[in-house]
Amino acid sequence: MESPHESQQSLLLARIIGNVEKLNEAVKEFNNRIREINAANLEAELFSHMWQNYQSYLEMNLEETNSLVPPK
Amino acid sequence: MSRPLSQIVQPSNPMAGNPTGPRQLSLTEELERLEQSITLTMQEIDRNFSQCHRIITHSIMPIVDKYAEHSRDLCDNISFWKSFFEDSADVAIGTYEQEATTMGPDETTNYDESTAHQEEPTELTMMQGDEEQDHTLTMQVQDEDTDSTDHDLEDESILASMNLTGRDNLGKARRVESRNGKQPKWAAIQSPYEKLKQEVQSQQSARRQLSIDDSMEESMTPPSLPAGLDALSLNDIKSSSIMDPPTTPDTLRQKQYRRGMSRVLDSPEDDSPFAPQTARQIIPSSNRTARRDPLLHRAVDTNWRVEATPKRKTPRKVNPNTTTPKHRVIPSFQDSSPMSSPPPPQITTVFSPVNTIRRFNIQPRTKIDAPQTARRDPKTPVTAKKRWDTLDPKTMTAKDLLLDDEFDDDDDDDFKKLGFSPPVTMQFTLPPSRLMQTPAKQASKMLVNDIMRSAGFRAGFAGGDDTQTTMENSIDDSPTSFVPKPALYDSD
Repeated sequence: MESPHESQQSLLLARIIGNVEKLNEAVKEFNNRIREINAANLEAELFSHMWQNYQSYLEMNLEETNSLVPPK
Repeated sequence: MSRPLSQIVQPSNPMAGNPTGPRQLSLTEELERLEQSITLTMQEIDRNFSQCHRIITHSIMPIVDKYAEHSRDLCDNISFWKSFFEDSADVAIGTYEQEATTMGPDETTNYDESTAHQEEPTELTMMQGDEEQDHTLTMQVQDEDTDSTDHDLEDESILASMNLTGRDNLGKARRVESRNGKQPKWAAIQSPYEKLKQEVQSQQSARRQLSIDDSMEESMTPPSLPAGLDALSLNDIKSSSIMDPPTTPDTLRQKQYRRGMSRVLDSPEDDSPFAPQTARQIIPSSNRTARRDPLLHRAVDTNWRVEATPKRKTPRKVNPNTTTPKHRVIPSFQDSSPMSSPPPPQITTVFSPVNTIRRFNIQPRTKIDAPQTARRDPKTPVTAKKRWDTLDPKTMTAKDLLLDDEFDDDDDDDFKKLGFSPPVTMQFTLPPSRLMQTPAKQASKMLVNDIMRSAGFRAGFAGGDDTQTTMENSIDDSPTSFVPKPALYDSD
């Protein structure tokens, strides 16, 4: 005689497996999008480094040449 | 949670009065209760999974989509300025992925420093009871810490080490000092700089014209450490042998003077220690071969590195036997410094007004009456125009330039008689293909878009062609305006 709990638990297990598969797909999609965004943001980060270096060189140059004017 | 040992060994102790019936009933009830609890737990798990999926798909993904859209706009706006910087530094900068299977020496030091900081985040995870949760949380915290440590190490010198502005040594010096935990002391290194500057300027007092040019060049070039201090800050331990005396700026200057005696120097500022480091970049050859691109980010199994490739090579080949007035490359076998390297990509000062004046030998007005015919070279009977036609800018040497300057002087006679300066063209140093690499097209597109947006046209101005067609259609459709067709396009 089959236990009613066993059939109910097998159904629940199947449901859980389906939900996990859907969740896995969603997380994969989420990871792909985040990876694309990060790859795109590398350019922005690179540019920020460029600008930071340019600012530091410019500031040092102005300080060395004594032409750094304080903001009015 | 855990039952005592007596209850486990003798589970029927509470039912000792009724040994048979109630015992089996309790077992069945216990089994039923367990089955129900298992079912409830599975329902709870199922509910949690479905809720997690719902949160990800309905709450997080729209936010991520918005974030992607904004970051795309940001990249579109940045691309112009990035190309601006790349064109100014004459390099193409890109990022690429690399599997983190092998780690170089610099990465191992970074990794050690990052693991040194991983002691205190693990204390946070001790609050959790589950071991698996501890492990996962610790891994996340370690990843974040590794990234942050990379930022700390790389943010100052990640682009300075790529010779973007020709200040490679400065960035490395900063990195070395930051790793040692010392602050850069600018006051200590400024005194020999000023001393050498005064000495060289006293030598140049006879040539006042050139000293003026030097001061202008110094004001236009980014500041740098003196060459001797660069060598000191980099790796004087590796470079200086045991037999050498301790390296000071004076001894370095003497070495440079001894090297300079065996060469023909066209301009006195070539070996000056505070001249911009153009051709003689001080990078040890061993480091250069083992050097990798700077690390931008490190994920679990992927490294993102930054590579800088020069967009074009130097326009002319440099003969080591001849010396050019500017950007002289000293071959490695002649240079006693162990830190010589090929010239890295950097901002060339060919187009500076100083070099233009010096190169085309534009003289002040007081020298108009000087005898120009006496300087004519009798050995070169070709005319200047034919000579320019036969010259190749890639194989042009300093001698050719000097001869061309003389011919320019001859050509200048007509202009000086007329009373205005000769026309200065830069076509031979800036080829048309180089001109096409400038972001002028993007700039013009942005300007047109801004103008059209301010004029009220808001739809469909993604490209320049759409803008033009829409403009023409709108102008043609308007009944009151009459715009004649330009005859230039009809003539073709």
